[in-house]
Amino acid sequence: MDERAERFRRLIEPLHDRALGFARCLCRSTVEGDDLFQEAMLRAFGKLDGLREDGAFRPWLYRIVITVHRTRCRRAFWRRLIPLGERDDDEEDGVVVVASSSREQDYRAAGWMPDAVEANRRARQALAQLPMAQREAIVLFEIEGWLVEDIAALQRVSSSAVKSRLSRGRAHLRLLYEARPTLASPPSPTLISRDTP
Amino acid sequence: MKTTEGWLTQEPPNAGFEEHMKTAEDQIARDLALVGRMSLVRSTPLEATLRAVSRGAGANVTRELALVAAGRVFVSRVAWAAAGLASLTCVVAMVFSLSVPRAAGWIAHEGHRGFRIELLEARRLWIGLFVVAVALAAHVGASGIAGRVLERRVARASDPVGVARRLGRRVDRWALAASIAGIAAFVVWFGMLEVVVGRARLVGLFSQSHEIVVIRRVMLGSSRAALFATVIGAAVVARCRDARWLRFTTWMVPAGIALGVVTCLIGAQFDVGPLVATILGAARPSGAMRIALAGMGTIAVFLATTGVVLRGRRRDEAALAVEPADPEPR
Repeated sequence: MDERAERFRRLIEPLHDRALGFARCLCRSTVEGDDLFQEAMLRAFGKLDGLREDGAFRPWLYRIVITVHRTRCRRAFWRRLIPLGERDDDEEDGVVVVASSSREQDYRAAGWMPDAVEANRRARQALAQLPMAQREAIVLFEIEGWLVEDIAALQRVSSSAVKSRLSRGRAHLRLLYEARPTLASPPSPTLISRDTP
Repeated sequence: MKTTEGWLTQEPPNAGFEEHMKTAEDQIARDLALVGRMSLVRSTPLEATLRAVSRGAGANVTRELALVAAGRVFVSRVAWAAAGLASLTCVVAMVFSLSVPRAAGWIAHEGHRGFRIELLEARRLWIGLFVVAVALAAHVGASGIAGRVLERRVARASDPVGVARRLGRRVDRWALAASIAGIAAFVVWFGMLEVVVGRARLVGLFSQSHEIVVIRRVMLGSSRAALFATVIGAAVVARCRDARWLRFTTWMVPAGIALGVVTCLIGAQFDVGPLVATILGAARPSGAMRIALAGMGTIAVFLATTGVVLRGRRRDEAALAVEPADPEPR
């Protein structure tokens, strides 16, 4: 038990914050992300003996995070049908507002400006509306900086499928940014001058 | 390095629109980068994560909790075995009463003809509910008995958790076979009654007609074969319960449901009622089609039942494998 705990500590130490950030980016709220991370950590610790090479820990851990996230999303479908628990504090009408007052205070305490907080909220709202596979691909590629081939291995699909997911995800994000008044930025002057008769 | 090929190829050749797209894309990229950086604000410390992991990894499972888990598995397995056996017995008795005319007199007071007519036409729902009630009664009764047996054995044992585990594993095979056979036999039998004679109204009035006799014979033949196959299949699953090919149970339930839906859709194309078929000249399934429908229905029910029961067994096995953290007192 001690050896396993020591090995787990050694492997998780350099990845801890990044993996937590990844879990938070995948979920609709920070609280949900922390919960997902804890569950993934428990599962990873339980299955650590099955990991043969320590060098493969990073993709292995991320794979567990994704699996747990998918399982939780499937559960959430039934939860929506039969609401047994309480609503997430960060949730409003199905869309999570991440930058609730307490989170905003956290961000400001960490030195972030209000426009950055607003941009973060905007992007997370848009991310939350992407299909699961596209969201995973976008987060891994755009935020975590993974290669397409690595994402393909992680998602167990071909590289072309990942590229397709990325492309569709970006197009989806773009549509969301343009369609929703809360998401959209002011249109560029060039576009207005050309479209307006 | 991040590639942007897929991104650029999607843009329309409109210069103004392109510029706008680039602005939007830049903004999205900036916002996503911000999300990545801001997701690390107030992150949980590593030590807190490790503490939570060690707490959740079974360090707080006491011997009492392990005993409760193992005891629950034993009681639940005995109860399901009893319910399955009760259901199977009822179904076998009904098939027997229809197959052997004299046997119906032992089961129902009104004589074999009355019982057959009630079963085939009028009281099918009530008879089905009666079987469910018998199975429930067996479940409740067996739970009580199993609880007492467990209590006695555990009270005398030096290693109560080990005793409860051994009891749970001993009844595993029987519980698996009986519950699969009982549930599948019940659903298959009543499904056949519903499909084969479901729309055959006034069976009692015309119970001696040639068509009724033929349908009944076909139905009895199919249901006897289906029952036999179900029991054999349940026994095979119980025997090979730890085999590799049975580990992937996730596909069984959807496959069973899909096959069942297909069977029902095909069956709905035919009119199986002899009166309606005779008067309206509706499409009648051939004997081979009836047998094929019966076979598909049986496989569908068996797959779905086996999937559900094996999934429950996997949870039970996980509960039996829980190791208490505190050592056994010497």
